[in-house]
Amino acid sequence: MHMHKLERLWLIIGSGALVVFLLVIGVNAFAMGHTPPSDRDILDPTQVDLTAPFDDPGLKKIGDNEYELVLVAQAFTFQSNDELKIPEGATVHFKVTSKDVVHGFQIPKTNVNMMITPGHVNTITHTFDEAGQFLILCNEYCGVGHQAMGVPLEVIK
Amino acid sequence: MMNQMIVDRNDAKLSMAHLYIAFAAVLLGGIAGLLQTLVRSGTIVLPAGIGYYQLLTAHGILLALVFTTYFIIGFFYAGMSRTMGKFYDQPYRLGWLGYIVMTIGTVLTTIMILLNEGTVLYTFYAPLKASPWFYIGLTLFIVGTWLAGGAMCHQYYIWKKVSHKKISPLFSFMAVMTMVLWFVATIGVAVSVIFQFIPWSFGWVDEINILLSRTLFWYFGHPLVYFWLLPAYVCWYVIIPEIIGGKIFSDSLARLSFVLFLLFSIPVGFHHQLLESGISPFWKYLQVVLTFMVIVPSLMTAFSLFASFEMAGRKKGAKGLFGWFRALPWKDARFFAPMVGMLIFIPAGAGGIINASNQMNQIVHNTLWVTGHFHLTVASSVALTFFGIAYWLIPHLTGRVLTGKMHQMANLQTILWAVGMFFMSGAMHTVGLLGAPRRTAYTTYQNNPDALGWMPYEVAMAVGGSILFIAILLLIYIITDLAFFAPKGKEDFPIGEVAEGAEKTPSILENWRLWLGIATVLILVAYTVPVVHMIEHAPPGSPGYKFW
Amino acid sequence: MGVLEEKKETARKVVTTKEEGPNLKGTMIAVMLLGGFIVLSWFGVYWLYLVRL
Repeated sequence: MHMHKLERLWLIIGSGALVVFLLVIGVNAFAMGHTPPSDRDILDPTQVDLTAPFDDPGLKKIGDNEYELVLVAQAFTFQSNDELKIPEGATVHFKVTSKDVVHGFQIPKTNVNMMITPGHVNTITHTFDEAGQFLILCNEYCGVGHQAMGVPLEVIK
Repeated sequence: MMNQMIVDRNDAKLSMAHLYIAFAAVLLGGIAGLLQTLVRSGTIVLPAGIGYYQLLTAHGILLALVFTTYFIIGFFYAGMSRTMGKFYDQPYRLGWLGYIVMTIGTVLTTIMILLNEGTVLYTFYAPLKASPWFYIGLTLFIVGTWLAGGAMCHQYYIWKKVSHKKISPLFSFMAVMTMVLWFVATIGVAVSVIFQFIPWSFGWVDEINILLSRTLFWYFGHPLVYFWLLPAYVCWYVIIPEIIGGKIFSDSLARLSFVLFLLFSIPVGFHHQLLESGISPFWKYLQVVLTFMVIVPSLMTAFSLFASFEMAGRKKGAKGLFGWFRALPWKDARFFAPMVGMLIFIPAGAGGIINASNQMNQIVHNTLWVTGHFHLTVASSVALTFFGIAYWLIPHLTGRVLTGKMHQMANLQTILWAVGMFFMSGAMHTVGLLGAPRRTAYTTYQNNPDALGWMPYEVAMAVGGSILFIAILLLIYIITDLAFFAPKGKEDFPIGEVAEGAEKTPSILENWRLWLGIATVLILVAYTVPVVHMIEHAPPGSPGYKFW
Repeated sequence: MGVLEEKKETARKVVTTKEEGPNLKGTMIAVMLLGGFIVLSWFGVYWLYLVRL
């Protein structure tokens, strides 16, 4: 099909830019381990309270300044048996599931953002380099109290 | 003979019947939108009984589904009648049947929302469970659109048989392509609603497979946005060149871009599910790559449009690199509204590429950035183009004229829209990057400092929303005038001609079997393995919840 | 502009039309600006992603 010389040039440049984008995120995702949260674990969404580790949600130290934070999302809060306080510089592995409807899990100012679908577990890791107040909030509509679904997370010096 | 200059009177009635409902939906959906911005910014509290999320559901369904779909179908009937001639009896009757079924569905769904039995937002994610009649209403709406698409395909089929032509008029080809895209896309949501939601909401089955329902929704949800966009592209490719006194840059490339949209707009739904469990990173990335393929026809479109502007300007004697830009008919409302829409598509498209960029989605997913994004795409690029079409289409169909005074009012409407959207969408994009979630009523999360920092942006959203609401009132005034009060006369239905010297269109572009075959293969490649996994490794399903 | 120069320009235009289609330099610059905007905003958000890692 005939194409104007400049249009061909434009499509080469434009597609080239798209290929660069794909390479940048492809390398970052697969070679540097930053694929988006895609956990494959499943559980019975009606038996969350009886299923480990969600039968005892909370903060567990698993290494040198490394923690696992297990949370249960339910309308309209994130359940934890421990206070959400972690030391500065800690790496936290969030492990979350839902007891009822679909929820979101997001911490503003970080890349922590994932969907919590009932029957599935989702996980994401973040290192908190600076102390301060953080907020874990639900960013998927989950009912009339959705806007109340947020809990503070404190990173202390 | 084939290229009648005026849309047949009966076809005009069918078209107008759709346009009335489309603009009624704009008014109602606009009221809901205004109230939402006022609630979110803490300016007002809704009077007892009305919920924020109920308004949000109404806003989404009335504007993203009812306004767009009715307008698109009405526009296509008129344009097909204009370029292929009067609708034959059978497709004409089918068109009315489709209208009736769609409207029954719309009314039923709207009643359920008003009764607060369907406050599940327009994405109706399970396991939030609405009344079964909410889903039945949606089903009837979709079935109605299938009848409408059937009417257009039938008309196209008869025309080809009778005229013995290999190549159909560009407008009609694009209309049929858009409806074919719609058929393929809606299969996903129809399967989900009929086999999952309806039996579950009636209580015939106890559980629903959440991930499968979401995947079927987004199999439909992304081509849905192309279903909105392609009719705007029809206007940009076929109608705008005529209005600016130019020619269509290339008939073949225009058709090729529509073929590419059919192929690549469907196997990409995972880019809405990038942050979800149960789908492997490989399949997500594969669909991200396919998503980037669908950007290419838009790059082609950008070039074609600027080229037809430049050629028209140079023909009129415009000099220099950009003289043609000034030579465009900026005071002509039929041009100005769609042109502002096209320009807004530049930031809209850039935002879309960012959204689809795999792990970068973590920055923006379910934040107000996304709301800002589709208020640029569908609510500005598409909506302003549709308004620009209505300014001549309605008087053409009702035997009236678009007067100079109405041109001015319409241009004022466009400016108000652009200004309102600048504040609203601009604030949404910014505060989204700061982390403010979408689809959330007024909240400070117990005076959390981050959340308090979002308030000024939410106020800017309300300011923008208020300007937009004034623009909607002005729009309704213009539309009412054009439909019932403007002076009688003859308003043109502009259809562009192809530039001289452009090559003959190859007939392979109308080889439907070929394109549908490739589209099917791509869909199977992108979806088979992950969907089989979703079904085989499904957790126990979920019961329904009514949390509103 | 002299008549001669004008003639020359017309002649050149005819030639370009025959060989490489219409003059679309303005179009090319416009789409390149558009492309530049896309690249800048994409890398802007990618930078934000890296900073927030």
